[in-house]
Amino acid sequence: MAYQHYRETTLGQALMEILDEYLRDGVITDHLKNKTLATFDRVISAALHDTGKHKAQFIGEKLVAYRYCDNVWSLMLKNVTFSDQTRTFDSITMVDRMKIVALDGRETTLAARRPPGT
Amino acid sequence: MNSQPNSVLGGLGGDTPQHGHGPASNLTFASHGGPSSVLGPASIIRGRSDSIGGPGSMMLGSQTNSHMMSNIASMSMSLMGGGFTPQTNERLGGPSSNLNFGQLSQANLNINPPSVNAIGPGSIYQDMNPQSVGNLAVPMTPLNVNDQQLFREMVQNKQQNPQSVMQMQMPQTPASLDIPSPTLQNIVSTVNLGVPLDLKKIALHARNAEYNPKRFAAVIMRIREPRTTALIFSSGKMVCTGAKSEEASRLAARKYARIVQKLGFEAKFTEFKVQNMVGSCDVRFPIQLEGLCITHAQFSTYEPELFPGLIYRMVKPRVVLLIFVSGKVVITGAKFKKDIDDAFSQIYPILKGFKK
Repeated sequence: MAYQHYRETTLGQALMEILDEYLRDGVITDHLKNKTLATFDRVISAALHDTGKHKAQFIGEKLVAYRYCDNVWSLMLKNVTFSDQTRTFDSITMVDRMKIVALDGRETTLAARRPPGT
Repeated sequence: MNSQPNSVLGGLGGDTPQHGHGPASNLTFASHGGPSSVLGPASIIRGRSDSIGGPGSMMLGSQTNSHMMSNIASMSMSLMGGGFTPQTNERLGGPSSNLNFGQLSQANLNINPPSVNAIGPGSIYQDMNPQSVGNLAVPMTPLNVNDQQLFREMVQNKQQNPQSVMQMQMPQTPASLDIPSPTLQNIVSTVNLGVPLDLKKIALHARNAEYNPKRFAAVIMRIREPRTTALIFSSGKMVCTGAKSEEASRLAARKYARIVQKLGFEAKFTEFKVQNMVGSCDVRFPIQLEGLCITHAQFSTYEPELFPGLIYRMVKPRVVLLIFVSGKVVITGAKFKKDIDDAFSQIYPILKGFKK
């Protein structure tokens, strides 16, 4: 089973919204909705890994807090600057706080998470 | 007892260690037959006659056994080897030698008072250390408490009247005026919070916590002030590391206990104990480790293929020193700051003798 954290992205939220709408209208069943979301979880991870070649950089002023529990790293950064080399204009973005949630994406860990028989 | 004629010769050559009757006795010290040889024979003779007249006879008066005799013998030899002048003897002969009598009559720790008294640093340091190793019945680190006192007094004296320093000192000594002191680098302490803890809950609610039960069965937590790391176990016991002073370690441990309390555990602050202290120091001159390893074979381990430093296991205080060619020294295994200071003030004169 793949991680579900990409459902919180703009793309994931849009997908969930439309699936909920279809479900309300009776176009799809609950089962199909879950199946679609599971496919999304699996595919988005692979797609970002294989096709995401664009790179941006960010620098935080300070690491405010961190946590590592259940194989998940959570990092809180203060005053983060994003910079994008490929864009000359408005390439710098600032945020006060940024939370990074990092999951273990290695095959071995994912395999361990997968229920037997799938 | 052990005052063979040849050892006297050794003494004249500045190699007093040879006369010793301990493990060091079979060693030769030709490689570092030090500055004493710089002095002419005249000063050596003066040194000897003076010393025998002075502290030597006092010692005989207070205690006469063969043991003492050997001390005196070794003492006079060290004096010859040391080749100090009468002035120094007169100046330091009084109270300091009394200290040593007390020590000698209590325990058979054969420190050689005159050699300490006679400190014309370069040469005497070299002489006295291997010698006192030789004299030891029990394995003891060459200098002991009294020596340290003397050493400190000496340092103070030097600071107080620089003129006499000039009289005493050999040409290479000016550096000894500012003797470095060790700084604490790490303190490890333990506390018992006295209540079983749910580590998962702590890891999920506290900041700056790591918990990976597959790796290590404790929550690793850090705070910024004092900058420390704590290991919190489910038994309620806690280890606090990284503090630079005992007070800081205690304060940090209290802060961790408070964090655990705030998460809803009935944590108490009991059985705080410092388990280890680490200090370091730079003597600011390179050290000849091979020589040190040979003369202090009882205490030293030096395997440059395994580890570049010399491991010196001091017996009193019971600490371990890592000594590096660069002159950097790490002192560990101490429970008190005093142990580190004592250990350093013992090792410093020894290291001076093995200056490259």
